[in-house]
Parts: sequence; structure tokens; C-alpha cells
Amino acid sequence: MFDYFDLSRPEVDLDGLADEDIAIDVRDLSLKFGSKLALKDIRMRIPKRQITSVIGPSGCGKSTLLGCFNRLNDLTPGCEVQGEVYINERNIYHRKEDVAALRSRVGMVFQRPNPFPMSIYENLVYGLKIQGIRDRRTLDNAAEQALRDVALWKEVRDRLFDSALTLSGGQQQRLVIARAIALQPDILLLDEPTSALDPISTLTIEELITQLKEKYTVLIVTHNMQQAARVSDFTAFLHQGSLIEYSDTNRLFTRPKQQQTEEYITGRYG
Amino acid sequence: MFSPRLRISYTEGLPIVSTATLVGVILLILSGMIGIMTVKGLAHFWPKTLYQVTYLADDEEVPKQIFASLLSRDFVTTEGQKRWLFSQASLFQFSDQQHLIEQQQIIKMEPLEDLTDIQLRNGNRVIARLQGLVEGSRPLPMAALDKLTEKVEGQVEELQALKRGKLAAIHMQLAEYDRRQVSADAPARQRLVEEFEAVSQTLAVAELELSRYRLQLLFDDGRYHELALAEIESLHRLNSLTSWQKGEHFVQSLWVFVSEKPKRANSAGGVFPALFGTVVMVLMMTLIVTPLGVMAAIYLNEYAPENGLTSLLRVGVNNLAGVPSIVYGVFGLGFFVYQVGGNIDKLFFSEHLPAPTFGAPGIFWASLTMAMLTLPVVIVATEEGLRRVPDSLRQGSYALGATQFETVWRTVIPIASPGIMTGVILAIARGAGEVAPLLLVGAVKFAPSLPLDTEFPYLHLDRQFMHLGVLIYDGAFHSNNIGHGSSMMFASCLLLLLVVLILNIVAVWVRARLRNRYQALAR
Repeated sequence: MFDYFDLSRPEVDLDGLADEDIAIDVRDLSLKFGSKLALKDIRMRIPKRQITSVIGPSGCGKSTLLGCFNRLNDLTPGCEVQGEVYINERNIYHRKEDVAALRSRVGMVFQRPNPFPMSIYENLVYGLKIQGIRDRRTLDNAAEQALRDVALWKEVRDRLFDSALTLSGGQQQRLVIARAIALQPDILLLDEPTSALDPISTLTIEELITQLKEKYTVLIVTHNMQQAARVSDFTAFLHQGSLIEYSDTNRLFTRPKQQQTEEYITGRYG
Repeated sequence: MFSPRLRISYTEGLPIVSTATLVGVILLILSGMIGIMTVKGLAHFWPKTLYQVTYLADDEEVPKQIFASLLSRDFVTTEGQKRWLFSQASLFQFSDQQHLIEQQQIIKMEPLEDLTDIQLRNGNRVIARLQGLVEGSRPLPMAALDKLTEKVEGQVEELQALKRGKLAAIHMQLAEYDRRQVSADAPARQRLVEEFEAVSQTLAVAELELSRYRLQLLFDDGRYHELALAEIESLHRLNSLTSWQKGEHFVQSLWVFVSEKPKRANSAGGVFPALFGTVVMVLMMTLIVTPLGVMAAIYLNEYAPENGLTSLLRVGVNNLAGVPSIVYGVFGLGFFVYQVGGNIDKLFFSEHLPAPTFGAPGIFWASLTMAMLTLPVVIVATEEGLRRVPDSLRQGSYALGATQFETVWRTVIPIASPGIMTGVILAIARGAGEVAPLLLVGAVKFAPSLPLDTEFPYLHLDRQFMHLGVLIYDGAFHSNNIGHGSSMMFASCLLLLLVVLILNIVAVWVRARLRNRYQALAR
């Protein structure tokens, strides 16, 4: 298990981070679906340009937590949110918040690759066109850069106008990531991005994620603890809607404070 | 011994055999229907041999003679006697006469060479023996007939153009003066009247000139008659045609059928105005119903909250599909024509009142009524298409910063477009075949002008129009000449089937292209 860690990296104390190093500040966030409480009083400060993973057993609210950061949960009927989430010093749950604009700054990638049934190129420029960008050259450059960022450019550059559905699953997932980063978001939310992929594609995506950290704040939900240990700088452990433990990945996996965390990471339940 | 044998158990075999049989029966019925339409419809155009029939009627002592074509040999009397149906056409009757003659009574049937089928310009048909050709009283050789016919036809057309062009223009001008109450002795008006008389004079002279060319005909009752060539539209010596010429004749009459106006109360001539009216009405209906239906379906599927009211709405839409079409016709008449049209007239066309402009049945109201009729079909099919768009794609679009409208417009509608096309196809099929509501809101047995022409504003929404379905309906109720009228009815049916088929093929082709483009539903 220790192979996964880069032990040479100094442990970082989350509480010691300055405000300008924080990308998302979650303050007492609670969320209800109808009468069911899905998240309870979450307090969490997510650092900028780092990879933070969220782990926990099925149904603990990991994906729901992620959905709070781009307010995708709003689409679920009966969803009710209390508390505040600050991104760029603005509470995104403020009633005047422009949700569509928020979502263009906070990209999201889903469990199953969901490219639109259009050409690869159309997929890449979808978000930009919605932002009102019509200039062909700008769009072309953004598409190329996004593809290079996800290391897909060489594979698809001569078939940009083929249907995106002709790509393999791993390629589709990278395309979907490229589609999100073509918008140059601040934050990238990855909701179990590799769970529907084969091991080799998974490895490619994981490598990609570690590179993305240079430009973006990355949040990744995973049920694969090795993955969390391999790729992330910080890890949050969620259980039944509550944040049990949240700290530097190395510390959480080697010296967990809470007994529940230890039981989960050692595989006693979950 | 091992013998390979297909063994189907009873419980497995019975369902296979019975369902296969049923499918076979259905296919048989369908192909039978199309077959009958095709055979009977096309038979209308194939030249029929002309006979001089000599027969002895029951209560007479002297044999009678008629010139006729044989329509059918299939009639059987109650005593089991076979009867043959002939169609006689003489100059001295209003239209074709049908004769049912018992087989035994027929003494002779001679396909005489010089029997000729003549179509007159007034729509009537004549069968007679060709005896000679004269100019005034000077006989001409029969060989000159073809050339002469061509020449006369050219001149007749010129005269008609003159009538339609110049004479009609003067008429219109005079009518305008009448409306403005210009006094009869105004100089402008008098000049016009003089001009009118001059043109009429020229026409009369030219017509007299033309009428010198005459055809001498012998009719079945022994009468001679000289018929002016100018009165003849076409002339066929059917009995002396070779097979190839018969084929040519067939193609020609087929072309006349689809390209010309009807004559003689829709029992002769062509059906072009009806064909045109049907296509224009269906296209207009499609243009109206598609956006309406799609918007309604999008509201129901994408925007409406999932509650009792929405379910009620959905049930209502589904039930609308089952409302009898005549109800839509009455609704269209009461609401669109009288209510909406009446108010439009009051607001915009008050100077023409009490003569209605939009307050009367017309092609626009017909298209609108048919759009209402086919709306549920489009809504249901579109909703089905929308439901099949995976939610993951909607979420993907939202996650890229799209609003709900952008998501619907850029992702959901394109992906659901094959479903929308399915709705359009069903709407076309239903709309093209419906007759009952049209009779109330704008389709007529005979319309003097097309709804689309070169006259401003080109598309005349207030005009009444002809429709193939109405023509078929009308043809089925023709009074005395059932044989001929009904063969025309079969031909119209065939044409209607073809129109629906072609419109559908176009729509299916579009749908296939859309499917190819947005093959999202594979997953």
C-alpha cells in the first residue's frame, strides 16, 4: 500500500493554508432530497491547484457533495440546500447567482463518458459556443489546446469531424475532460471518472489528472482507495452524509485520526 | 437410423404457425388492395378496342346497333346469365351511356377499322366512324388529317390566348368602371367598348374561318354529322393502333390525367388541380403542425412539472388523437372560418363585406384544421423521441454552462429529431388521406383557380381548393356513368396513394439522415 505514496512530499496542514490558496470554501453545508438528509453540516476548505479526492462507501453522499459545487443538484426534484459554498469569494448559493455562468467556471466529468452524438469538434466547442464565441480561429485553437491537454490530439487530429461516438470508452472520457477544460474553468469536478473504464484507460486518465493540477483545482470522487492515494494531495472521507475526516492524503491513509476512517481504509467495511 | 428432421413441438409450433399465417393474411390483404388500385387505376388509361355491337334487345324485333367500348364482362343476372357492360358515346347524348347487354343477345361485335374515339373540347367523348374530311364543301384526302389537326389546334390556342388575355383584360377594366360608376358615355369607356367589339369581331371571323374544316362522321344510329375540327381536342383510331402506339396512348392519357384540369363534372380530363391542392394543403399543414407539436411536446417533457395536471394534459392529448375527424371539421368551420375569419374580414377587409374574404372556407383554414387534427400525433411521437434522449446528455450540457433552453435547443432537439420526423410522417399520412373535415373548411369539387399562381400575392390563402380525396369521394357518387367515373376514381386513388408514398419517402429519407447524424440512441 505504501507504494502509492510519494513520502518525500511534505505533509500539508489544511488549517494552515491562507485564504488565497483556497478554491472552494464550504461552510455548514446541508442538503436534503425531499425529507432525506444527504449531507450534514459539511465544513471543508479545498485548496487551489491541488487534487482533492472524496472517498467513502456507496450512498455516503460523495457525488452529491460534488454536485453542490456546480449546483447540478438543483436539477434533482426536491433538492434543498442550506449553508454556503464560496468560490472566488462568492457564495454560489446566493439567490442572485448566475448558475449557467457558474457551471462554465466549474467543469464536471461524469462516471460514464457522455459525449454528445455529434462530431468530436462540435463536442469540444459546445461550451464555447454557448458562451457566445463564434470566431472560427478562437474555437479551433481552443479545441486543439484542449485535445493536447488531455493527450488526445495525436489520436484524433485527422478525424475531428467524425462522430465522437466512434471513439473508445477511454478516449471518450478524455474527450469529455477536454470538452470541460476547453472552457478554461477554475475547478474541475470528476465524478468517478474511471469506474466505467478498463485498467489501461484508467491509468491514462490518472496520469492526465495529475497533470491537470498545474492549471486547475481538481476534485475527484472515487470508490477506489488506491486511486485516491495515487493521485490526490488531500482526501476527504465521507460517511452517511457527514465529513468524518479530511486531511493530507498521506496522513489520512497512514495515520487516520478517526476509527471509522481506519476501518474503511483497511477494508473492514464499505 | 439417424434421420435429420426438423422437429417443432406442439407448444412451440402453434404460435409460430398461427402468427405467420396471420401475417401472411395481412400481407395478402395489403397487396390485394394496392394491386386492385393499380390494375383498375391503370386500366383507365389503356386504350380499349371500339366495337360496333349488334344486339337484339328483349322487347324488340329489330336488332340495334351501337358503337361502344367493352368495360366489363363480369356482370351476372339473377338467372345466371352473363351480361357485358358497354360504354356507348354519341354526339347526341350528354355523356357516355352504359349498356348492360346479355351475352346471348349479342349478334355481332366488330372492331371496325374506321371507328374513332374523339375527345371534344367541351369534355365530351364521341365514338363514330370516320367518313371524310372537307374544307367548306371541298373534300380533302384523309391523309391530310394529322397535319390539319395540328394546324387547327395551333390556331385555336392562339384564339383562346387572345380571349384570355386581351378580352379578359377589357372585361376587367369595364367591371372596374362599373364599380366606380363611370357613366356609359365617358370617352374612355366608349373607347374600351369599341375595342372590345373590334376584338370580338376579329375572333368571330377567325372562328368562322376555322370552322370550315370539318370531319364527316357516321354515328351508330345511322345519322351523319359534320364536326368542326376546332371542336375536337384529340382523335384516336384506337382499333388501328399497334401495341407500341397503344403504349404511347397510355402514357399520353396518363400525362393528361396528372397535368390537366378536370372536365365534365370531374368525370373526364385530368386531376391536376386536385393533385396540386392536396400537396399544397399537406405541406402547409406540415409547416403549421410541426413547430406547434414540437413546442407542445417540449413543454410537456422538458418544462412541465411532473404532477397531476401534466398527466391530465397528456391524457387529453392522447384522447384528442381519437376524436372523429368530422368533429375537427365542424370545429374548423365554427372557430377558424366563422369566428377568426369573420373577425379578420371585419378588421382588414371591411370594404369587401358582405362578400367574405377569409370568412369563408379556404385552403389556409383547411390546413389549420388538418394541423389541429394531426397535432396529437406529432406531440406523442415527439415526446417519445424526447424521452429517449439520455439524461446523461442533458446533464453534460448543463455542466458546460448551458441554460435549460440552450440544452433543449442544442442537444435535446437535434437528438430527438428522428422522433420528430416520425411524428411528421404519421401526420402526413393522416392528413393526406382525410376528407371529411376538408369538405367543411375549404375543399370543393371544382375550384376555378389554383391556390398558388403567378399573380400577387402568389399564395392565395383564402382560395378554395381541390383535393384528391374529395375527388374520389365525389367520383364514387357519380350518377349515371358509374363505369367511367369509377375507373377515374380508382386512378385518383392510385394517385393519392402515390402522393402519400412520395411524401413519406421524403420524410423517411430525412429521418434516416438525421438518425445517421445523431445515432445517440445506440447506447
